[in-house]
Amino acid sequence: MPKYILTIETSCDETAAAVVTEERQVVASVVASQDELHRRFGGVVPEIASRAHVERILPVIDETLRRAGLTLGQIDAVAVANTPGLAGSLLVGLVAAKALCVAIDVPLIAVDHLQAHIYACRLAAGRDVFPCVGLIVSGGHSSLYRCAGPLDFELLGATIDDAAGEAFDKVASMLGLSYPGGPSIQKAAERGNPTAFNFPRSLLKDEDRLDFSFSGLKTAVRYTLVGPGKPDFGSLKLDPTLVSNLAASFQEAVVDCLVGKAMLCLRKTGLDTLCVGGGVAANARLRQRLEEESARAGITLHIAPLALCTDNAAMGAIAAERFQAGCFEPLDLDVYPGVIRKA
Amino acid sequence: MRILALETTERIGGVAALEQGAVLAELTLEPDKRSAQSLAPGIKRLLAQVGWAPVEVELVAVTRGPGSFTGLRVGVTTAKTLAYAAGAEVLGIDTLETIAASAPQHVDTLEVAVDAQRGEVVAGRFARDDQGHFQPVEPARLIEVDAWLASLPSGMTLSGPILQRLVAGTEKNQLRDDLVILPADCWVPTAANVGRLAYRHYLAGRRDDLWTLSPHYSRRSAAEEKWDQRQIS
Repeated sequence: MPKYILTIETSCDETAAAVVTEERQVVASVVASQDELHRRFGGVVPEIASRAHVERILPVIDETLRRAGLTLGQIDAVAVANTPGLAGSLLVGLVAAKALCVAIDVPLIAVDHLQAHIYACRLAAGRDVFPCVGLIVSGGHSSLYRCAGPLDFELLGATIDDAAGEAFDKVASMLGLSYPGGPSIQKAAERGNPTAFNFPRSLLKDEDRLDFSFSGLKTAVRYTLVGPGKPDFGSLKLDPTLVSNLAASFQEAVVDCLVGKAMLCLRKTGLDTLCVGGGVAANARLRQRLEEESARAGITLHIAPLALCTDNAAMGAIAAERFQAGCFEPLDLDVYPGVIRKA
Repeated sequence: MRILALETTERIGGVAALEQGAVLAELTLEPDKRSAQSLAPGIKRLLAQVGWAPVEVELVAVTRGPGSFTGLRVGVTTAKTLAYAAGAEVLGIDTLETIAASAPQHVDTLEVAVDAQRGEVVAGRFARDDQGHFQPVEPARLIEVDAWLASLPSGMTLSGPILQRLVAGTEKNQLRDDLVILPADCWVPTAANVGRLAYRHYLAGRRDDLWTLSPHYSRRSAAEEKWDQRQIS
């Protein structure tokens, strides 16, 4: 009989659950996105996200079990992402997981959301990918790790201000493009010239650092649009060609930084495998450039498949590693929210 | 009927087990931990103490607000998930009514208030019906602390956790001396009273839907309130 693990993920604005086996087979995976709730605010509103998780967590768990063709009584452990993320969001998943553990008397497993993003590559590869350099790019995180094993990560670099996905959202808002900003900027950039504007690539030339900074880039786009001073984006009449050129030039600058630092990290660590996860890893231009640069440098590249880039609970299959190691948590497990930033 | 009652809207939560409305056991959650940490171990301890398997619970009762947003989410999510897994029913109980139920027998009418942040309270007035149960006189209202205090008629009896601030805290001396303040041990909701009220409401035919039960937040998110203000101006 296979052992089944129910995994829960509520670290930001996706309510997700999955059933995975001890052998890392994903039996079922359900994600309820909250994009439509946050769209008018141009970003995730933590209180709205927390409330939506409360409403959605039970239907998502129920639908996951239904699709897996399993009853709760057949579940052998419950895993939940408890770090990092939004405190109020993480808490909903955590207490739901604990209630299940109490009710069906199974062990609780803690999942590190960022390790899970990298584990999505391991899941898709169907074979060991460690040791590797891990690049996580999302709305909340832009970080580089030395990943000795699935549960052994060392932070080597991170953004010092905005995460890449956050910059995409904010620039999309300036350009009058829809939320979330990643897909809308990618679409606008298809018709644009990536060299139309020479936007800054902060820290890219600094070979001593593996950190990112996207705040200056965001400001550069703003100044190009409205100049310094208090902006009034609402009254702007933007030419579609200008929007496309700005989107393409902005995207190219972000991609240059991400690819450049990932390659620097590989050279510095001497590792020959790169794993990339997180919502921004769905960006087509980033994927293309990572493939080109990895091929040139002889690097084995694993990018999470599109369905596993944005937040999901299938990547909670990393819990299988802990399950096999007998690494369980007490019922008073807490959440460790926050974002990874380099000072 | 076996009832598991949860209360997490105040700083220190509690859990209780009741059979036919009688309290078999009540536990206070660990005071130095937040309820997201302490609630599940508390439930497990309580069930062991009364010797119930989780599936033997028939009704999970929980304070559904007003109260701390985080506390409400912890309580309601735990109650619904437990009920789902145990095949039990679930019932949300009003926090103000739960607090009112702690008032001594001689009190017939009282006003209960909890902190709603940003200088406001959620306040409700209750009066005993002919069976001695407190019933709301009017719907609870979200109101500024000062306006609430000014609205109280002379001789009104007060209860609720807001009094911790107004009687003992930094804002003391705000209370007029023509108001009657209940003893401090009546101010907070208890899990035992959540369970007792749930039993009474259940017998009276009240039901909540497992899938749609959600907390009674006293206000929307700050982002939504600001958004509406911008639309008006």
